Amino acid sequence: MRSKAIRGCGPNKGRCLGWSRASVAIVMVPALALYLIFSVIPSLGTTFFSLTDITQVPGKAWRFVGLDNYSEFLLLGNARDTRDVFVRSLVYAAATTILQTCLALAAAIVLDNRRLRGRGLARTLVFLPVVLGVTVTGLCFNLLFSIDGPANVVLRSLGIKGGLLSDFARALPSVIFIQIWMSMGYEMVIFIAGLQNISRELYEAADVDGARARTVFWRITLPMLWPTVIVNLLVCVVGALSSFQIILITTRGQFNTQTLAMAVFSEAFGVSQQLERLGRQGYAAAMQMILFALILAVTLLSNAFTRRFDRSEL
Amino acid sequence: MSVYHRSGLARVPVGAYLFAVVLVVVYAFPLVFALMTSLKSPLDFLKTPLTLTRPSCANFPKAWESAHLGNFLANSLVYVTVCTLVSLAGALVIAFPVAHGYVRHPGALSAFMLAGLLLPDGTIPLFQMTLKLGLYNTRPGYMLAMLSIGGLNFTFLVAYLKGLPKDLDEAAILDGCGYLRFVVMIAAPLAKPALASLGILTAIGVWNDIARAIVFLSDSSLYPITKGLYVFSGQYSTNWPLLTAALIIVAAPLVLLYGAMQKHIIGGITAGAVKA
Repeated sequence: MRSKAIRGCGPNKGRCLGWSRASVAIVMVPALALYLIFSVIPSLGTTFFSLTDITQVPGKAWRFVGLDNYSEFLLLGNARDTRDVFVRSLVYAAATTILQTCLALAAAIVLDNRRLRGRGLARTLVFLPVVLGVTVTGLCFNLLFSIDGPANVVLRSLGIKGGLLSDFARALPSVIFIQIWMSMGYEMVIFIAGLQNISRELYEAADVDGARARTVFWRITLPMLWPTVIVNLLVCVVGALSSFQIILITTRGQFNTQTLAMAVFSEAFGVSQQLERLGRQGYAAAMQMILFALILAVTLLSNAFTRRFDRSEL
Repeated sequence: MSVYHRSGLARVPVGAYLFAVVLVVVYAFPLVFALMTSLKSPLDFLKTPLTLTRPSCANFPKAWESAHLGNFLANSLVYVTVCTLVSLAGALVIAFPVAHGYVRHPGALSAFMLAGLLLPDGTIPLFQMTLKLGLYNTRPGYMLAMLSIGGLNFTFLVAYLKGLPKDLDEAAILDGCGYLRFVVMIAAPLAKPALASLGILTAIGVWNDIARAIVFLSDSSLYPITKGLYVFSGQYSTNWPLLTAALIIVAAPLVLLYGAMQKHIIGGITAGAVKA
């Protein structure tokens, strides 16, 4: 909306509202440059580097290798490893997204109840890990799930041997649990805000009609909250596909917890103890591009799905 | 479930209570257990890991000393302050002219500022760039990598600044107020609520970063608190009482900050996420 008060100064005269376009531009350019150089160009650069054999080692010669990195990861490498990494990423993303969204929704509905005493404290507690961050959370659970930790004491008393984060079958579910524990509060807070936007009159009308709690949930709460649910699902699945920090702190991708995002990081920056050939950043960039394609596909699919859903609703 | 409080008729169902209690236990237990462990001597922890017999605070000064937490905290404070201020200032000077239509193609510029969210992660090229520019393993290099001028900071500010009346701009121009002066002295103070919410979210993001600290910093004198803690945990992986003491020292200021800024934090998150 351009104000009508622009006094005889169209865009052609290079002036607007008395402030010259030049002064607007001069103030804006440093910030634009920072954003362009340190955010946009690196993102575009990932495509470029995925076609090279550049390494982590400074000053080492590198050259273009075409699509070699892609074919090595997808075709030449150990096919079972590659498939496992894909499956793990999808399991990790799906489990985190579905469980976390369901739990966050349930928590939001319960903790939005004004008659529940201590709900403020409970909300604060559930949200706290978001503030504490991944390092504190991850180390806390390293203790909890360690060999001497309480989780293993419980398991041992049930006759189950072996740890949680150092067991090939149990490490991934444990990491998923920690991820959900850490980020559920964020989603819950968004759901609570969504619940508070729902008109009270709908609930009052349902009450007058004598609707049961279950009916109210399926017929009022969920449909009214649906746009928020969709946004949350998408944010969550994209986040789960691209995040690896909690895996890095807890297992470093060992014990069958190497997701694609974790594999990119450990390949590029040599943090994994598993890999001997470290710091192949060209190869890692190619894996990053494949991860990007996966995220893009999920985003487009969910967009298409919701658009179709919206149309069928109307 | 939620129908009850809306109608104000019935009580909280038992199932909801139970769920709330389980939730509180699952969220409180790890933190309480960490706190309990930090109050033990390493020997007590080995003998009786689950019970607290002789609590003492001896681990806290020891952890502060041996983990160099003071140094790391100072680094983190510098990183958080600089990154947050530069990110918000950068987002503001681009968002203001977009919101008030002082640029020729506000739509295109907005799309450009959101591109960072859609494009692939750029950590690898950024790493190569910092190597080339001599910024690897330096404070400025890490802080440049941690900036967030586009994305949420930008869109949120555009939406907020659109609500500021343009009469103000005109009045300022009539009074001969320059553009930069207007942005700094009038627009920024008026956008304070938005800047506060975004500032605290940006600050939390920078404070909690671990991946980029691992990538861009190798000298321990430059570590932020997260990487300091991470490395310390590798060195003292068996001394849980000492490690949890360090953990509590790091977590305590965050908990206090959260207590003080809860409104701003929640406000920032929900305003960014819920479509009205």
